[in-house]
Amino acid sequence: MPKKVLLVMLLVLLALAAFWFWPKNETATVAVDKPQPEAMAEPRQTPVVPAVAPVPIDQYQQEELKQSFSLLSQAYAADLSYPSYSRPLTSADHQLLNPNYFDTVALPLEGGASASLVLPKYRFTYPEPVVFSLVMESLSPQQVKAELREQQSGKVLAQADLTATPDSTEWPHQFDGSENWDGAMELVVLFEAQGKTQQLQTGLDYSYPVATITGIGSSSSRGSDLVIPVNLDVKKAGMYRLRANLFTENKQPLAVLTAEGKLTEGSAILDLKAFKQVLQQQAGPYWLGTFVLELRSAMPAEATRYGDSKEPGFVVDAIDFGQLSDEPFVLNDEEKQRLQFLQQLAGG
Amino acid sequence: MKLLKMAAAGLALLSLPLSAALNGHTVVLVHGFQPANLADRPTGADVTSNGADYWAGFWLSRADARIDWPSQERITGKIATDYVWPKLQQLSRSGSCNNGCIFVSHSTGDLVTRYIIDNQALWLKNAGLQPLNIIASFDFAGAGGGVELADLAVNVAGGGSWTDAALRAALSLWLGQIPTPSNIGVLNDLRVNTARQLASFPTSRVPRLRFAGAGSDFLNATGPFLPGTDDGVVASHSSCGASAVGSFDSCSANVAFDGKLASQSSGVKAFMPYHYPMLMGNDYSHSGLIEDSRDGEVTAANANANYLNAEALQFQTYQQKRGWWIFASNYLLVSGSDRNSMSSLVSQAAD
Repeated sequence: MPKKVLLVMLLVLLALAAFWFWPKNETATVAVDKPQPEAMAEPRQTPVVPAVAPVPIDQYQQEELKQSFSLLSQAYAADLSYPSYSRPLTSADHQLLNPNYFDTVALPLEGGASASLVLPKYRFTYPEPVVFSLVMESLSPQQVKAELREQQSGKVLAQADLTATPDSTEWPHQFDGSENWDGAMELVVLFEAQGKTQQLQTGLDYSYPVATITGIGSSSSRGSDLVIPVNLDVKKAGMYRLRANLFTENKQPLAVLTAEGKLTEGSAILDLKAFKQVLQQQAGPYWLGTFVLELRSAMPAEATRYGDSKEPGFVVDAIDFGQLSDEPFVLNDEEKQRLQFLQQLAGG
Repeated sequence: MKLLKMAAAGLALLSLPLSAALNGHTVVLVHGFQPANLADRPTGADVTSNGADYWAGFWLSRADARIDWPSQERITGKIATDYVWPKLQQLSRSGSCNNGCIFVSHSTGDLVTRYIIDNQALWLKNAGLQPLNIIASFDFAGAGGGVELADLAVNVAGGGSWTDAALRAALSLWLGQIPTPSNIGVLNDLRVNTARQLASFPTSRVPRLRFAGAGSDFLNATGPFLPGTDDGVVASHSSCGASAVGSFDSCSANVAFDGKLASQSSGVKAFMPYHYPMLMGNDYSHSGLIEDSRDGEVTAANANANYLNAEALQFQTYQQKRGWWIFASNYLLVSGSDRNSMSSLVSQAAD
């Protein structure tokens, strides 16, 4: 390439760079002959000279942050327009739709290789096996061993030599569950490749169920709520929290429902309630699933324990939608105070 | 440097007002992970001293109480029993939160705060005490969604000859050392899955206001090991409060970390329950978010779609004479961020 062309290109690049890094504070002006919004913005480029005298951008400082808090208080108020026991659910609510999701974090290795432990979920419940797979990229170990350990004591609960899939990219395995396993566990995999070893590990939870959902009773209407009684077989007494997702018959998400109550051993019922506004005018039938049953921690150092469900979900009978009243939900005092606080920040 | 910080902490303590409340509400600080604790293993007064030191840059003199905890321990273990629980009882007995408390957290303090929000009412009731009335939390660089570097640190601590050298270097920069299996402590809780499963959805609807940065204290050495935009330690999926792990480049669908108003295809669009993105700073690093020093401009993460309308903003954004119009962009910047740190902006707005 001729030197002149290179020189011209260099000059153009320098001009672009100078333009890009031009100080921003020399460019911020706002026209005053138009109504001013609460939001503020600052351009990066030199503005056209306005027809009227420019006003320093700082003039609107307070408006800006108030606008942010105003949007926040509106968003929070919208969230509080539903009772805490019945929150609307959409397909975007990944966490609520997949409360037992396991995210894989790959360990980068020398030479661009990587190793990952892949699990179908984070929390397993007896008698489920602990299913997992070592996934390798750009490296094929000759020997792979796995151990399941109690996280607190380090005690080894199970161990195995793993065998690769035919394409030698995965080393799947499962440890059969034991009724003696309960609590935080560590899955540790040790592999050897080209004479060098590497350890890989991840945490998981294994629960011996403290209660089991055995079914649901007949749904009914109570004020503005659809009430769904959930039958439980309780093995360990205490304060329980039950969460479940309510879907349309076609499995479109409607609401995440929460019920809490102190339960004694034996048969028990927790009532889930769906506020009329989350039902989107749908009279059912519905599908109730994605159960998370927790025995709450009663004091510090006492771990949360989990229950299970005999079935992944249950059909909730259709109701006479007209029986649900339109009475609004009333915030409790703490929620009112939280909302007022945010509204104060917004200058309201 | 540490001596200077401790001196500043001491001075700040001496000048602590009788009540440092924001808007009449008691302010409780919950600090984050302190890497030096893994080797030092502080207890008792040293934990308290470290806690004061941690917040000395800005928030110490604006707080009424702190929950200090050592990083060599686990959240559901000794951190809860020996450090969180005594302070919760003290706050309840003193009635400090009767008019509402604001929790200000940084980094792992976000996760500790979520654990507190989920459990404090039941624990205190069972102990015959009044539950705390927590009206909001301000979460700077929140690590409640987990930290990929913690997953990697735990793996590297386990040992191996295959570990990527750049990763070891990045972890050394962050932690000041490569930990051993016996001194991982709270890094266990910070692993992405463990963190996201801990008290993931408290019943209490405390609004959690998120403040996120995109700078780095480590010359971007840690960035390649974190998904999307990060602040050197925490990825945006965590600091923004995203409902899922992902490669996010903004806490907003409408505005970038640097304030540029444009649709963000990699912006967070779904959040954990009652998590609200507030402010973003492109040049604020993980630690810089709670200091008093200004690190560039700050943008509002909760900008609504109307901001995308250039006319509505009333700003002229290009110079016709120069002919650079194709490069013109609108930027949404928080007023005062040209003079104040992000923490200062938040404190002023809340007071």
